[in-house]
Amino acid sequence: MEMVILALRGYLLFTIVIIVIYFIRHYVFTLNRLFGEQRIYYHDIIDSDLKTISVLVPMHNEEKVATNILDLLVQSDYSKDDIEIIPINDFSADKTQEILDNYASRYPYIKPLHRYTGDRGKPAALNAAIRIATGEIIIVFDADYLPPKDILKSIAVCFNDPEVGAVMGRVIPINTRQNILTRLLDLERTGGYQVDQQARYNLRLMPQYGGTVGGFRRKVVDDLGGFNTKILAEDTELTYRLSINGWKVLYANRAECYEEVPEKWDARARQIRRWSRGHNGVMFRYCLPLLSSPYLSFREKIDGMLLLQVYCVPVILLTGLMNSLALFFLGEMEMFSGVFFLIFIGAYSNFGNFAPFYQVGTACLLDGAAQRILLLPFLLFNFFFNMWYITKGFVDACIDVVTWRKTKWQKTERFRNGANKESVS
Amino acid sequence: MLILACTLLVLLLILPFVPGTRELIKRRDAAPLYINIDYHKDPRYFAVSCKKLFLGSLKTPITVGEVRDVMLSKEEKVQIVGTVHVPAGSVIENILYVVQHLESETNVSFEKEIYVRGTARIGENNRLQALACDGDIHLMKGTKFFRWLDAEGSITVEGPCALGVGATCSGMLSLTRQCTFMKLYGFPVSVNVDPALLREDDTLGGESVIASGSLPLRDCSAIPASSRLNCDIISSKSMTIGEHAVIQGHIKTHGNLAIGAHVTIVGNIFAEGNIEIGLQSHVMGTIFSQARVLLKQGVRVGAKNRIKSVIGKKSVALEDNVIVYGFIMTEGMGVVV
Repeated sequence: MEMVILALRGYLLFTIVIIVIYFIRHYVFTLNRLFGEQRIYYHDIIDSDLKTISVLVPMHNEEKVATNILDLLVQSDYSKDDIEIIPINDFSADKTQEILDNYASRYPYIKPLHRYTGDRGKPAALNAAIRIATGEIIIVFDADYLPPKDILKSIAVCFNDPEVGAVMGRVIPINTRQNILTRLLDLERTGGYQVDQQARYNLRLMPQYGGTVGGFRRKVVDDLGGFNTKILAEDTELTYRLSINGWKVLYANRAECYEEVPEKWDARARQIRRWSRGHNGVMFRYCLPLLSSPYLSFREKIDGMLLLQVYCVPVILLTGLMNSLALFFLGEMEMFSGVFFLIFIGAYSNFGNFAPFYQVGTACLLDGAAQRILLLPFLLFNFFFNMWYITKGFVDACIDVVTWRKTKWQKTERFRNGANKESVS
Repeated sequence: MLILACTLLVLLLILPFVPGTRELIKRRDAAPLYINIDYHKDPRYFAVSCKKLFLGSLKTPITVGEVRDVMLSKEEKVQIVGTVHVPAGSVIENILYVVQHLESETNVSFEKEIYVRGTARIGENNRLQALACDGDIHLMKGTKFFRWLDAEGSITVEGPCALGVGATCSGMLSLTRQCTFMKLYGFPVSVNVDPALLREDDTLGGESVIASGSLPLRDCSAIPASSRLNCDIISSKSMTIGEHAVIQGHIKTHGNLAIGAHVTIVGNIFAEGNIEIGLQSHVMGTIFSQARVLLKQGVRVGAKNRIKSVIGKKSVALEDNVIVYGFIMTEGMGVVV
């Protein structure tokens, strides 16, 4: 029994150390955004010689949203001589194919790729499109996104830097008005991009390529073997594969694009569980390669490791909470008294989700959206919700590693309840 | 007592959610963050927007000499004039819409925006807010802009002037020593340039090829003089490039970059530290620094019919005979030295 109690105590201490480390990390990011030096954006560059680009839009049964994104891409200010748009019809059973063919007949630079054989899912679809793409740069949007006129230039110009392998733009939810879930997801995104990603850019750490509203060098990704179809988080995997091979991922805060966030809790649950499964799958594979890469600085490695473990932390927290309950009922919680107790409480309350409350609040202030800060206490519900489904995703990832089972891509449900360009004008 | 304590506990638990619940019901900040879907980056945005406001507000026939109340960003008085010659020491308090040409003598203060449909010749030591001009702009020494100036034609600066947050034009933008600026845009932007220097591109020279290939040359701290490289260069520290080198590739350094005299770079230059481009060097691409940029005498950036940028976060300094085809920007101090 003594050994069990010792183990439980040890695990609780471990949990607190992890939380304190992440607390410090997010605090540094927040202070950087408030008081630190801000690096200027590449999108200030005006250059008449931008690279040729291929815009890839993976679509699986996207008849609700396909026309919105294609209409906006057609209006882009990128030179039409230097662009091709490849909407990828990935096993669609609705009218997606018909819609894409209609656009292709009107715009010669829209070249749909219809896939009804081979592996299904975003990584496989991207690999197929990369093989036929001719642009030097690949830019990817999910089908529910609404890209502004100048975003292709804002992303493409970053590749003038020869060290940049991938660029990530900022995602902004458009359907915030729908319900409390969409408003909480909006807060989460705001904190994640306006503070987290931007601070990592400022501090020259490791911003993350998010798989959409972003781009990468076609040749580099092709040379690295394309996307791994066995991994659900192909974006995170690309971030690490590029970084350990000497390429930088750049965050472009001003390359903003609307997306649709899940409006139902079950859709969100499936999304976050898939993200957790994919991200943790990447974690299992890339810890050692990251640490041994000759191209990364010490602080990039530290940040890379913390980013890699980010979907592991809610699992540690959940087990830590259960552990503390066990210790409480065993009457062993006196180990946390005085200052230690304050650290314990402080650590737990500081860690919101991927972005703690002070980070989200700061992001709202920077965005000039002060009223939504009042919703911060509601993030508590999101926190427990995420913690549960992330833990389930972690278990999925562990089973993936042990059984080598084939992963199956699950598309996030689309809603488009008035969430279009007009709803923000 | 127990009931009171329980009530207090419940109240304290509910309290943090009260303001949020109110926001959820009233939805004062429920709209998505604004993105201008139709935004198109234009370095001459201020002038384009200002002219649009002017022309939109003056649609009905105008009479020279009238003062009209028009709605710009707010209701303003606009003085409509033909060709105007402003005497020395005057203070012009209204917005000016000049149908033909504008000329001012010394020490004139223009308190509001000016839109000139012809040419503008601004005398010494004038003070202006903003000037949009459909022709050429000529500035005499000592003039200070608090906001911006833009010309459809060229801008010629005769002496030390403060050019506000931006001086932009579709023609040539000629500067002299001690001018200060934040953004410049012209074809080209030049400093005390001998017109003979506005020639076509140099042919590439250089001697031994020390590196060539699709993979970048990494962590090199010095490129010897007269080298010729056909690859990108990426360095995690500071780097120097010897004189007369020719590099066909892009350069990125995480430290400072010092480029010697008569070097040709056929590519872009990015640095986390300071960038110094040596005498008579030619950079065909964009120059971008998170610190300072110094372009020494005779440096040329870009080429005719191409737009390139020179961006230095902390400062950009230009010496004599510098020519830049396109855009120059700094968040700090831009100065001609």
